[in-house]
Amino acid sequence: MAKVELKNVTKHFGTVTALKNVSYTIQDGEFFVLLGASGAGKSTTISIISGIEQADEGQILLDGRDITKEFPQNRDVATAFESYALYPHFTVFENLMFPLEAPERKRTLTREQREMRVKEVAEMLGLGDLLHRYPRELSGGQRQRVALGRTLVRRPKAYLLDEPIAHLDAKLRHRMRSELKKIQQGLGITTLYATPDQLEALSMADTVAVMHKGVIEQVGKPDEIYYRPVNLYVATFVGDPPMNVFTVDYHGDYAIVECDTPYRVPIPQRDQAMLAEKMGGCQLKIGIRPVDIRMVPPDDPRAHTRGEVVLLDTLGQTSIVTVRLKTEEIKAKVSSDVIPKLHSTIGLEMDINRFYYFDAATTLTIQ
Amino acid sequence: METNGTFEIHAEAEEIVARKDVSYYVSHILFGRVFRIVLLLLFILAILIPIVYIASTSLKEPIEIRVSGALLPTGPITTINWIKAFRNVPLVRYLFNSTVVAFFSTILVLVIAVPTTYSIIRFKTGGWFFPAWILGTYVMPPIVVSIPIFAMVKMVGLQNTLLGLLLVHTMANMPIAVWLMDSYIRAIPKELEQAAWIDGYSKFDTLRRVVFPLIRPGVLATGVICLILSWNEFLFALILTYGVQSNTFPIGISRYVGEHGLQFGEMSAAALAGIVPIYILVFLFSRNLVEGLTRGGVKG
Repeated sequence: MAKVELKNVTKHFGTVTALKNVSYTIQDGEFFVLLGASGAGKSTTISIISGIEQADEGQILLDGRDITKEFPQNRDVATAFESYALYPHFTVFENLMFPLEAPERKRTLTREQREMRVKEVAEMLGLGDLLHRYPRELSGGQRQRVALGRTLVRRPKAYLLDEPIAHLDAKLRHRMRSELKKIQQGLGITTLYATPDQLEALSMADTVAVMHKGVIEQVGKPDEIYYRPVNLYVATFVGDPPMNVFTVDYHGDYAIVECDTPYRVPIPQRDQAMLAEKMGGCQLKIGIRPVDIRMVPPDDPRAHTRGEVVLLDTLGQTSIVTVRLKTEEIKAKVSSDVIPKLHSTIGLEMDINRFYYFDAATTLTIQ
Repeated sequence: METNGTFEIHAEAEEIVARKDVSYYVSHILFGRVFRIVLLLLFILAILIPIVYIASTSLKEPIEIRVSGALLPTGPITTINWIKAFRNVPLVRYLFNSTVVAFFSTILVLVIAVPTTYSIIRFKTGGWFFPAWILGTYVMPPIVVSIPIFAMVKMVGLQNTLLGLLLVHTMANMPIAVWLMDSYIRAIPKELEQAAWIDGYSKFDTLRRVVFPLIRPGVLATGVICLILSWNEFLFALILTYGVQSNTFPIGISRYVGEHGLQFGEMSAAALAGIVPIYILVFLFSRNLVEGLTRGGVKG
């Protein structure tokens, strides 16, 4: 249990900068999620904290102790590798036991305690029947669970989990999300969890850090990340389907969204005041989440824009309707009861109180 | 109309079957299996003929060896060469010396070469120069260094001893061992070692508990090759040993040339006696030289 601090960490691989001046603090016992697409620098961050890679610049502190140059063995963190890294010559049981047989833990735990831990974790991850198998005899999802189990048998200062449930099937992944969160809360061990899945991030995290190309875009509570994204990248990365963003003609109390008929979209009073103060004459982009859009008949006075339905994705109870305006496309998440016909023209009403405003040039949120 | 159509289809199908038959026999039987078996037999013959020749020579009457070069004995079979081979020359002692030198030099080579290679590959020990230099020493003809080596061994008083020779063999086989181990160690996914470090193991314990079990087939293969090289080594054995107490088997064989003229029969018997142990050994180990042990460890 410990506080993990990154101070101005920079890492290059050849000419590629994997991490650019990254700083943040993971509080003691916190479930901290690194959210980002592949190549964002999540795995590099984990490698640097675990000691597999050395930072080119900056410092890593574990409970105030500088571990920047420490050998992994002496850091007392546990890592689940995205590539599993199971020991091929050991059975599942031996793989799970291996971290507990390290010199330091062999001293502090009795044989019964060690076996107990392995049994517990194996049971929890549904590996009970596989203990005598070798990694080559397991499926991808089973291997990933062993990799996760090898981490969870330990009680380190911090868990570093690199996409630990990415290769499980959807149902098991869903169960593991809540299971992992429960384990983490129960043990109270500081956890850094890397994932490209925003649903995992929002549902599990105490704090989310959105990473993009080696830079931390935003650190905050899940609802802050979702409701108050600091820039266009965070706004469109978090949320499924992603937020609709379109360039508008802004005229003070209304804006015009480009489509075949120039509708006037009213801007709420408080937003007008805020924009007047902070916008400073930039080109404005407006964002609206698909859930905040309703379908209306094309000639309905409530419509804010209209266009042709070009794609329908039915996801059971809800459907994603993709509508082409003049050049841009807009997605709406609607109830499956009322889905329109493909290629028909429909009007869209947006919840004007749920608008996000962005500066088109800097991509920063205006708020 | 319909029957006609069916007939045509049948005829076409039969033609296809017939055509396939001819081409099938040509390609699969003649150029496939037959060709492969013939090639294999030629290969086996090339390897076996010298050994068969030695074996038959060792069983021929000395007079027959002088007059006939036939592959198989034409006259009566005799064991006289075998008896004389062991009686006239202390062959058992030579075989014992060879065994000691080959066995211990191989152990020493492996004990040094495995960690060395691991260190070179994983921690870039010595940069580019060290590995290049190790391999460079193997390119040099041994005869070039024979005099300095003799001088050094004499300086520490190990000339004419098994220890002196086995140390020189250790040195001589080191480059080839490093070179052979290289590919085996490279084949191990780095993540496995990193996982072990994070799991709480030192670099040495990681080598011992994770890396070594995975490269064991490679270590065995390297060991067998070093063993054979040491067993057959002639030059250093010739200049560093000059008595029965330290002469190795290849030097022993040459004894049949000097002392009683050229004793082909005895020499053949002795050579076969020297080949047999190493053949048995390689045969036993070859079953353990399996690869693919790292399968399943990492994704992809």
